[in-house]
Amino acid sequence: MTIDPTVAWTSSLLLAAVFVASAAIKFADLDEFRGALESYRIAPAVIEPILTFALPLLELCGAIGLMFASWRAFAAVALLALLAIFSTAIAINLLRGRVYIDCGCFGPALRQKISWWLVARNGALAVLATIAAVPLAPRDLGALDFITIALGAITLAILYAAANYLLANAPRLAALKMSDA
Amino acid sequence: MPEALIISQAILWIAVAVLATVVFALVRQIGVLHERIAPIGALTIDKGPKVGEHSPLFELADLNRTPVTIGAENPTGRATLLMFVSPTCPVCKKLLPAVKSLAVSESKWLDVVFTSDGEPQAQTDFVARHRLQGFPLVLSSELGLTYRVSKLPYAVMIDHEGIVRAKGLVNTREHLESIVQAKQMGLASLQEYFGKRMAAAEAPPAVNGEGAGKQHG
Repeated sequence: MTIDPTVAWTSSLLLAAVFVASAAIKFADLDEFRGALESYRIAPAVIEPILTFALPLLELCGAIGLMFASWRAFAAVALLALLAIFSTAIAINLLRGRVYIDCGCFGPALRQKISWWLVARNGALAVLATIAAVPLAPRDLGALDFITIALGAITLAILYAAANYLLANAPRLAALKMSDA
Repeated sequence: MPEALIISQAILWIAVAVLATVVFALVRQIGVLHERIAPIGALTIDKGPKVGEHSPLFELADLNRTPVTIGAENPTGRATLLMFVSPTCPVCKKLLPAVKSLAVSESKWLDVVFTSDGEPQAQTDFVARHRLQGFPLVLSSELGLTYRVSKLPYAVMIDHEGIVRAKGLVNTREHLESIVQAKQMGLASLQEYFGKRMAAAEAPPAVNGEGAGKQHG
C-alpha cells in the first residue's frame, strides 16, 4: 500500500509542527511538566525525572525525523507509540475518576483538564502518524502540490490550536453555567 | 484551463488559511473573556463558607501531632491564613517562597497554616524539601471539602473572630497579597478588590505621569 506524496507530506508537516510546539512548551517549563506527570499517578516516582526529560525529547526527535524521507516511517511509528502511551495514561485517569487533573499537554499556557475529547484528539493525531508511516506513491510534485502542502499544513495547525483552546475553555464555560444556575 | 484552476486553488487556500487564523483569534478571545468574567479562580465554584460568615470549627493536628484549631475565636487577636497545597502541585511549589516571605512580613498579626491531604510520608518529604518546618501542616480532606477547594493553591483568610475574610485561588504572589489586602482593607471579597483596582487602573494615567514629572522638575 502506498499513499499520495501530497497527502503524506501534509500529514507529516502538520504532525511535526504539533510535536515541535508540544516539546518546546514542555522544555520551557520542565517543573510544570513534572508536576503534570506526577498528577497522573502512573509512572513510579523513581523514573519521573527521566520521563520529564525523555518524553519531550522523544516528541522533538519524532518531529524532526518526520522531515527526512529515510526516517519518516520510523519516526511516525515512534510518535504513534507515544500517542498510545499518552492516550492510555489519560484513559486510565478518566476511568479512575481523576477528571480534574491537568493534561500537561501544553504546559501552563493552555491548561486542559483531561477528557475523552483529548483521547479523540490523540486519535486524530494517530491517523496522521499512520498516514506518515505508509510508503509514498511515485508521483512528481508540481507547484500546486507545494501550495497544498504548505498552506494545508499551516491551516490545519492553526485549526488544531483553535480546537485546543476550545477544549481548554470547555470547563470554564461549564463553571460559568454552574455559577449562574 | 489548468492555469485558472491552479490560481483559483491557491486563492482558495489562502482564504481558508486566513479563515482559520480568524477562528483561532476568536477562540483565543473567548478564552480571555472567560478569564475576565470568571470570578478569580475560574474553576472555583463559590460554595462553602462565604466571606463574612463564621468558619466552621476544626480541631485538627499537624504532622507533629500538635493540636491546631481552625475557625475559633483567637483571644490574641491573630488572624489565620489557611494555605491549601499539595506535594504534587507545581504552582504550589512556586508560590511557597511568597508564602514564607508573607509569613515573615505579616508575622505581627498573621499565622500561616498549611493544609494538604494524602499520604503522610509524602507530606513529610514535602515539608523537608521546601523547609516548611516552621509552619503547622495539617492533613485533612474534610477541611478541603468544607471549603470546596477544587483547585490548588487555595488560600482562606480567617480573622481573629473566626470569620472568613477572603478566599480564593492564589496562583501568583499578587493573588496572595490581594488576600491579605482584602483582609486589611475590610473588603468583602477579592472580586470587590479587583473591581476597585481595575477602576483605579482605568483612571487617566496622564494625570499621574504629569504629577510625577512636576515633582521631579
